[in-house]
Amino acid sequence: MECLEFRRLCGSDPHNEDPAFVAHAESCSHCATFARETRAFDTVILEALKVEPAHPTVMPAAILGEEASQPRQAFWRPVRWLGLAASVVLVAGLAAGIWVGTSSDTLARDVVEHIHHEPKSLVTTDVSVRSEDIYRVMNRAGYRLRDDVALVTYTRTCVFRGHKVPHLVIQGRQGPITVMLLPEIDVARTISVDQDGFVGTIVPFDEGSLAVVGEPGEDLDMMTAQLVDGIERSK
Amino acid sequence: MVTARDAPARQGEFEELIRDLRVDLFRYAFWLCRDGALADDLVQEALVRGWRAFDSLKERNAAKQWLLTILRREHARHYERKRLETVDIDGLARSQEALLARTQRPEVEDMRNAIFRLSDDYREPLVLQVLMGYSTKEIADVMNLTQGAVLTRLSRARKMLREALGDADTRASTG
Repeated sequence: MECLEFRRLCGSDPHNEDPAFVAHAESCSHCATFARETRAFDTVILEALKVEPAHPTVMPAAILGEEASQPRQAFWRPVRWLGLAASVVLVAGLAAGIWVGTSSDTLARDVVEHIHHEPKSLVTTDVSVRSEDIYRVMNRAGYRLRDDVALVTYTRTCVFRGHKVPHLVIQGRQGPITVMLLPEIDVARTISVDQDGFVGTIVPFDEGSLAVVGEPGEDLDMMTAQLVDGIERSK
Repeated sequence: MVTARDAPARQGEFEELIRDLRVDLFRYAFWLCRDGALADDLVQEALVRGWRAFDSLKERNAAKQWLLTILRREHARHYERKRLETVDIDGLARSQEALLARTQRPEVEDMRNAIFRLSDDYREPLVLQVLMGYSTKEIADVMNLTQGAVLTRLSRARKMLREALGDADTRASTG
């Protein structure tokens, strides 16, 4: 193997184990130095490529559906407020990782649990996220958010009860307010949230619901009204 | 048909499978699209699709390549929907400054910025080889190229990075 060919191959793969490649490195000190420098260069490339996720990578339970991580017997516990036929459907739905029905108590609890899973969302800041990120997250759910509604400082598509939902954080007077648009989780009436120091409501919205949760003392009624007015279906 | 009794075992198996892959999936997605928020979305989407198609994965030790293929397809789908024709490299670099700058070492930060500026054709094979440990044959299969084309792109990618970092050194010494 000639030096030119060696260096060309080395540039493509400095860890080449071809016998002719290895033999040339052993016989040519200049090329051996070139190979060492290229491998050292690759060490820096590797370190550079190891970026860290800004948000915690979603846990499998959030993908499979919150109930999927419960003990097996929970799948068979009768859900008394549903009829028998609906219970069968619920169990089948759980096997597929998708909620079919919902209890108002557990929905509020699950929203707060979801907030706990994303602690980095709860930052008081005046730095907004990019408008294209808000657009993408909302549009994925079939909605858009008017620009003037609120300062959005966090936006992400999250898996909640097996559904992909927009999760936003807006800034209120008392601190960050979590907004979760739940297009496929309908509620018959407004549900209060009061858990772990979080307060808020889950209101019927379009064919699903909207969760707005913040700090005590926040005027969440006004914020909820602004959001209900400011979220519309994308065309 | 999966019964409710099979579901927990299947879920546990999937969870164990992706436990070690999640961070690398994010890194691959990030270098594919150069956007941290979008990379997050792509990984989530790939994991959801992977879970739904889990029964089709026959060889568990092929999981990494399988999920990468799903992720890559999801990325392509995203850009088909957006129909992006031009990419503002400087705009992208500014928006990802925080993610790119999370390192204590200036040479690593410079390298990150240089990789960020490589075009897709050169950046992706480099990421697959150096970060994901793929052979040139595996890269050729993923990217639907000949091995020769992969070798050429890898060599040119390293050359472009050296040139870019040579420029960075010059700016640093004269600035």
